[in-house]
Amino acid sequence: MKVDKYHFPVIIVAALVGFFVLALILGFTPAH
Amino acid sequence: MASSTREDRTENRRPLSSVRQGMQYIFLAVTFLIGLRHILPGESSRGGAFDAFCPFGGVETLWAYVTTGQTLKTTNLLSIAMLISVLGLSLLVGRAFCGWMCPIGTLQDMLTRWTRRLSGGKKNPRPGIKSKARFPIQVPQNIDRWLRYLKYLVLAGVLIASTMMVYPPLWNFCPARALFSFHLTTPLLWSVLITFVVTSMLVQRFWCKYLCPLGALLAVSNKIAPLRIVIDQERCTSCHRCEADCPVDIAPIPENMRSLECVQCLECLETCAISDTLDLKLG
Repeated sequence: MKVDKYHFPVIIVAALVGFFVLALILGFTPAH
Repeated sequence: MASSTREDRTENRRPLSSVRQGMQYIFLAVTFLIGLRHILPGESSRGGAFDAFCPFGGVETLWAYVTTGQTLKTTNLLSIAMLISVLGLSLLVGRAFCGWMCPIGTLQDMLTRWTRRLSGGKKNPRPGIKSKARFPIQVPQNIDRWLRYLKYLVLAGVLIASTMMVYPPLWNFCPARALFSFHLTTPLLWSVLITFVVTSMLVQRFWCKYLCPLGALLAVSNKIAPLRIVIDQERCTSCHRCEADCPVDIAPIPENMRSLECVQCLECLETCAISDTLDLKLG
């Protein structure tokens, strides 16, 4: 499936944030 | 029709490159602010040191965390969260982190642009035309090919060292720490900073191509990522315009569409003069 190249920045930011939130949910948060 | 399309696309307009540059500057500014936050009085202990925000810190501390439940000094679980997010991103789109987000890559791109400009390059070079500036230089291909393996040795060395150290193995040599922690306490860190600046001015993306262990780790994702650049071999005229603007000097691009070195910057898509020859494809 073709992807518009102008959607690429949105995809990568969404993926980065999504996986970061997933990591936080999994418990990888700094202890205070 | 084909000729008019070709003519249109050779204009000096590269909107996606501008978006990429904008995004690079945003991530650079965020990294700068994180570094700044850690030198403010009373802030240094919160959220760990600057190193805790580095995804490669997650690699360095992973062994200690898995075997003892503790992280190495100056890192914490945030490093592992950063690593998970960068690895997840790379498994989807390859090394886009290197090309669009990494602040070290951004600084190298900036240094390259300045060096090129200072050594006779044009301010706004036409896409697809190799710069005639004296710097940065092109490393001879036979040397370059071998130097690129260095980063895998660095990665292996760090992984081995991380099993027997208390601090992250790269702690004293990390250019990110030298550039953004604002805490240049040792002559070694000063040397790293100066070496980074000089090598980046001499060779485009020197650190990424030859030394970066995070790049070495993410490289394999280029081979398996479902979102990738594809080429229509029938439309490609092998003009090699796409290679002129590749920041990591992949050549020939049409034969290396899934190169381990590709940082997914999409400059080749922007530079290609024939529409629909290079495209992004999912699956």
